[in-house]
Amino acid sequence: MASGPPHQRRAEFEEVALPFMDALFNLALNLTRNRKDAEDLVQEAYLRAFRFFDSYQPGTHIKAWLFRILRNSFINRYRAKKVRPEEVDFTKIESAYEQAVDEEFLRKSRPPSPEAAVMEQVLDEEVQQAITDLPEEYRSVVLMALVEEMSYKEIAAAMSIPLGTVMSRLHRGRKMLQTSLLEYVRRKGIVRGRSDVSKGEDT
Amino acid sequence: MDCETFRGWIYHLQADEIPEKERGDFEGHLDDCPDCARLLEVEQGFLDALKGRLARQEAPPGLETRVRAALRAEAPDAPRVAWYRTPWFAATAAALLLVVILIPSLPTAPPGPTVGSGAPGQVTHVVAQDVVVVDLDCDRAGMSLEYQRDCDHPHHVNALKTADGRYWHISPDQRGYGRLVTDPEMRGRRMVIDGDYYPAINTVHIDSSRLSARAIL
Repeated sequence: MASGPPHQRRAEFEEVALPFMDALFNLALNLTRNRKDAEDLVQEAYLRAFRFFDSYQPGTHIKAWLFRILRNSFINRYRAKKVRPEEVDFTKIESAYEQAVDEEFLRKSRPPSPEAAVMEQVLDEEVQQAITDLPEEYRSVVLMALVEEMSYKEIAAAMSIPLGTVMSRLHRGRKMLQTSLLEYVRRKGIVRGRSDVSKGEDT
Repeated sequence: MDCETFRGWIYHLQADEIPEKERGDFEGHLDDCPDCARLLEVEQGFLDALKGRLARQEAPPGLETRVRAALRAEAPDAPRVAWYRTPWFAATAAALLLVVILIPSLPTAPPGPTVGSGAPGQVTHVVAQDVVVVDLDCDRAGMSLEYQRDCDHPHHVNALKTADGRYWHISPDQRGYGRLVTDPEMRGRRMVIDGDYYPAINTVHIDSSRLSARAIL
């Protein structure tokens, strides 16, 4: 994109890229789970982005482009440390979610409604923990969709994945998130499980 | 549309990612199915609350400075041209240098107490106080007056050194002052000069008829 002397390219880069620092830091923090590592990752991502600034196409989503670079930097670090990202058995998540929230439960529930009850009872730390517990590929998609409110197309660009994969990851990521939060609440005795609901109906 | 299809797309409906032409099918299903309508309500409430709790964390204040410094290290600022390397300064310095180089070879102007006037290059009547007779070459070389008096170099000649450090040649053909030009004993004498100054040859011809040149020392 940019041409001219290096300091001029830097000025152009700073103008278009630095406004997204909060967004990058937030994603980095959710990926690394550590503020210092997040800061290092943001700096590394910006430097890498600047080195490849020539390849950036003006008019395309620069936030998605920056996210992709940051995420690739993060993945490279994982590879360097030979740390395997956590794996998840989605079938277990699915069944747990189905157990926690099913059609009957939703229909029978009355105030406090489950959504209100869940979000009123969970702490900020528990919401954050639920996000943190998501596998990285789901966590990034969920954050981009819910916090950054990026479109599927932008997320696909940022993650270098097809649109359909964005949809499936977002779907599963959200289900995992809800399952975790419902689990927190259930432990506190606010929301009953499926068996509890059925038992209540019988009486 | 059945409930299973609707629920499979419910998140995308919330994300406003359903193609426009298919939105009607989803909305039609909501009208017909209170369970799915309730589910959407639950999911939307949950999503709104979740978004409210997922506030974006701001980058620490020092991070931007740090990133900018790293970028600057990657692409340094354009070298700032020092004031002494600017074109105008170079031109001025060159002109000054030229003047400094040329000054010794230019005819020296008569000293301050000059009397008389005339066009440049014309002979001028001069009267000067505290003019010292020196060995021209030795004095220019920084030798002392004592050393100059002892100098017996056959080609060295005397000159007049004014109070402000200029040298005047002494006319060799003036009557009564011929020794002034060559005599080492004359070096170091202070004199009051009254005569004519020839700028073209930077030479003073002391006017003997006025007897205005006298030895002080």
